[in-house]
Amino acid sequence: MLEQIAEIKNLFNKSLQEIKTLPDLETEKIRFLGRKGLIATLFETLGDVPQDSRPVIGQQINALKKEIEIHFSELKNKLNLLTAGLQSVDITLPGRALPVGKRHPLHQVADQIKAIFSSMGFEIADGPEVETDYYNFEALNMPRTHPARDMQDTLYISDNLVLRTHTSPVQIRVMESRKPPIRIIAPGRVFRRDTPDASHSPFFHQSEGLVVGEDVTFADLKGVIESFAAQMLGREIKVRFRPSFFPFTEPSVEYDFNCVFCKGKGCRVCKNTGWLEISGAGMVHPNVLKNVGYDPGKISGYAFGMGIDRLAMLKFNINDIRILFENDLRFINQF
Amino acid sequence: MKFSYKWLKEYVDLELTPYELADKLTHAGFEVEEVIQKIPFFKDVVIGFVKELYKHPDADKLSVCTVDDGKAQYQVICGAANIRAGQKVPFAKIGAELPGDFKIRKAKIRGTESLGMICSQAELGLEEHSDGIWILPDDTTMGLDFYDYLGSEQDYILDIFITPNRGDCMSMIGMAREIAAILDKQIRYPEFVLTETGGCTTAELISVEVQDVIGCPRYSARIVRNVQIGESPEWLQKKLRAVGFRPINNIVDITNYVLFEYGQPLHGFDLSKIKSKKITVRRSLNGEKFITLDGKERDLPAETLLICDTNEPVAVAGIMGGQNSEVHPETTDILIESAVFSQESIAVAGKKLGLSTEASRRFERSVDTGNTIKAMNRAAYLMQEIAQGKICQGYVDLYPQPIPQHKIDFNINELSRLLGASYENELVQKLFARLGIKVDDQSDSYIIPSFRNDLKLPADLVEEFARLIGYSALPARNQSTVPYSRSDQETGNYYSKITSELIMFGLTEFANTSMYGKSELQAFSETSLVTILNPISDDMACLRPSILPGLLKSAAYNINRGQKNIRAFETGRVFFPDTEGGLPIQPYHLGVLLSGKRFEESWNQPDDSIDFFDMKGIIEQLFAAFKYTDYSIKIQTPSLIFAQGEAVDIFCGHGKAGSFGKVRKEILKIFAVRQDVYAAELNIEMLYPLLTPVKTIFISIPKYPFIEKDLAFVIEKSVPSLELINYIREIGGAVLTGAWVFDLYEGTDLPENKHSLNIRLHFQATDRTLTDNEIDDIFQNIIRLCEVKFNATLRN
Repeated sequence: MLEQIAEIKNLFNKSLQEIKTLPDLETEKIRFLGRKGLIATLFETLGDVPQDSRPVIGQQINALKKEIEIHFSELKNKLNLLTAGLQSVDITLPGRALPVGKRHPLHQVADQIKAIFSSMGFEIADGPEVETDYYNFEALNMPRTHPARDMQDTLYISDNLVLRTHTSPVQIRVMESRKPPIRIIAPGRVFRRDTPDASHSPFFHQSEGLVVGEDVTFADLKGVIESFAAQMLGREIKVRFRPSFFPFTEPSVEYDFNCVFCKGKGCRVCKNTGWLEISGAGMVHPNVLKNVGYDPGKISGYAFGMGIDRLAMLKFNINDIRILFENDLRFINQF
Repeated sequence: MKFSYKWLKEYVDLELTPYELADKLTHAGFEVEEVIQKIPFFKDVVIGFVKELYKHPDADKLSVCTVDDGKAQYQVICGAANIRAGQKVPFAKIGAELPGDFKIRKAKIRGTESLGMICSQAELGLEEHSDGIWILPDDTTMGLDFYDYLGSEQDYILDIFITPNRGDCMSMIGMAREIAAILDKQIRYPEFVLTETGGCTTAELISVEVQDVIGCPRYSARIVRNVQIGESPEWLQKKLRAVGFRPINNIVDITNYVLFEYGQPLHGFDLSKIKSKKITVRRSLNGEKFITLDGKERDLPAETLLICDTNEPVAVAGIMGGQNSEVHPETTDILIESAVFSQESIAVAGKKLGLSTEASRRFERSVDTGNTIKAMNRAAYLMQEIAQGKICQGYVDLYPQPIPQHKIDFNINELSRLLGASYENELVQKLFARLGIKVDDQSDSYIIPSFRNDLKLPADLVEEFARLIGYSALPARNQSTVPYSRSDQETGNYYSKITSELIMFGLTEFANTSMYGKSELQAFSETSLVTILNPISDDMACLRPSILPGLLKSAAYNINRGQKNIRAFETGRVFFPDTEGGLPIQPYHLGVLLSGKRFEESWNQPDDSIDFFDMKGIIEQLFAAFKYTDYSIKIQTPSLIFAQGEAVDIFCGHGKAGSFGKVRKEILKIFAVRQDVYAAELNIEMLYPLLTPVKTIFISIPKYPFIEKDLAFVIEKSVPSLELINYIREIGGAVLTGAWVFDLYEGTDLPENKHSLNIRLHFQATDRTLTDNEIDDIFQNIIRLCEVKFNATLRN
């Protein structure tokens, strides 16, 4: 008899584990506690037990019955709670959307550039977009007849006013307004007389960089550009420096990054060279330092530029600059 | 500029392949933009002999040939009209690969087998179009690999970007000299001997007067007589074509050839057309006209340097010759002009005339004054060799103020000061010597060769050194010695805070051009527009005086593509002319544009359209984000942009900082926007000093609960709700901590000119729990006084 009680207890424990729904529970309840259930059968066989052990065994059966009842009732409450809410909403309906705003991808990249240079101790400077001929050219060692002026096709407002062709005039404005040391970047919009196509826009965005002080060398320029490349595009990006010419730097350099698409192996984007031209840089030309009243024998500096649109296009694999300025929501929402 | 690899090899020994050379040049500051192989690669093409041929039985125009390659014979079908038995021809065998990914396979043409192809020059990628097969000289050897056979013809064109400072490299010799320096080799200059058989001296036939020595520091000339004008020999034509020049006649070709070889622009005059026998170099006077070589009559800008037959112009100096003195088929005597004109005079005249020629491009970058005689003699020599000319004895050379040898004081410490690493004196001198820069034993300076007039300062020598040693060999330093800049970055932070707040409000940032057509902008400017003198096109001729035109354009772009719900903003500079003609006023503005539905279409969002109060909410929240309250919003005086009744101005500090409202239909029409638009524009530069973030100081949270009371006033619609609320606040005093309109009711049960404003009031004290009794007096007061002041009645 005692074995039978133990067996039913076991059965019950197993059953408890298996019940997942209310109908399951009802079935099991009948199996154990029904009029012809397992407990009832136990009571029926109580007659076969010797008289003297009957009260003890009877008590045990009663205890088991109570235990089963309590457990079933608890389980019923639990199942009731779990199933109660479920049936009232269709959880597959979409949630209530919030309006989501996006930062333009170009400005996302500009923000990143600002953050990287801010972390390296650079300050953000700014200057006007319509500039005087002096700041855009003359002060940068480009007199009126300088052939380098042909390198940039200029939009003129008047004989003396231009839409700045680069962010370099900010160098002059900052140096004129204070004494070294200086460490700035100057992101902003620039203009060229280029007919729009996939790789040209008559307006685009650059960031100038300028560090001036004592003991500022070409080695610092290389260090800063390499560090920027690693932070912007990843540690594996290599930087290449080539001699070049800009009237406002000497020595001048053109710097390239390892092609981000083919990792330098050569592909269509980099024209199989493995390198992507980024921008120009160099040591500030002594004439430029003289123009702002610095002593080029004591003070030295480096300057660099970078195309923000170009970096954005590289970063996001955009192949047509014009899409940046169409403001198609399907475009901006991707970033 | 295009350089022929083969031509360069005449002056410098090159073991490097053209591609390796290109890489070296790129790393020395001469970016090679492209290397073009003249004969494209092909294989398994041999020299074949057409042993016999007969007409194809089933095709009139085809021949069936037997081609011998010395080892075997092949039956080949050929369609060329010029094929004959006994010819030597390029023969592509089965398996041959021709340019354009063309493979030769066994073929059956009209039932007859063909085992290869007889090639034309076009099929071998040597010309665009061929009229027949390529017939080779009879003495060529049968069976030779044809690609090897053409080997001596092979050439590579290097397209090199010459930076404006390196005018000295705009010639074969100049480039070769640079290559020799880069590769540490010797340059070979051309050697030639003149025989002066002209029978008289140059000076007897011509005299020269230079009236402007600054504009023309050196003028050399010499005469070659009895030339025979004709076609140039093959080698000369080939060389000119290789660098992109069209052969004309032997005399013109020679002057062009020497221009390319030496970089010295030359001009050949027909001597018989210089009637006065005197060349004068002078500046033009006002109103002079002149017909240039290209047949165009040009108004000469004043002060243009001219070459004259005493007084009559015969050429625009350094830019273009004149029709009146041009070499033509009957010309016999040539005056070779080899002069140097100043960089400034040519640059100014070229720009004014809108002319840019091979000659002017070189003068603008400045030409070596030490080179005129050599180049002139080279041309005379070639005229003697090629055009049977007789060279007159001597030459004329006006060089009144020889340019002194240029020296640069150079302390080797400049290298470490600018490059961050120090170098041995010996290495420095060795590298400089390769460039022709010699140390001056008398002083601490270097002597610069006359062709390097770009080298003026010690920094220039630092670059030369760095360039030759290679930029990759220079050190990099990661720790700057310059201290951090002062963190004076509030403006930047402030602009980025505006942007990030707006993005949080669910607005998307746009970026538009600054340049528009006049018709798009006119309504947006109270004053005149800033216009561009040389715009790319009429629709990019004016600078924006407002951010809104761009936003409206972008809105139209999106709406036309089915994206009708737009919540956008943009910041950027706008432009207003300065009345004194100085720099335009160009403040940063913020533009906001809302259009379409408030929410994207969804089962659980209302289907409401955006209205005035969406825009007002954005402006209020933006100010709230800066804790700025000292502004007022007032009904706008009629404007061209915003529709009357739903247009307001925002006043901050000293004046108007912006406006917002519903955009007028007339404006929407300009931009083809076909749905309602609400827009705002703020001068954020003007707001900056006002909005500078206030330092946040914590205020303790009230400990005692508030009491809430509601009121419903039936009031005339014309009473501004803000006035009512402000009055209630005044009456409520310190314990009234909140009062706002929470509902607005209009209905038929109310008079037509009235509505019901439902107002919720919060009463709260900081030091105790308020009792109903305490506030009841205030509450009753509010009701009573509002009834009196606004004729408001309580609604039941």
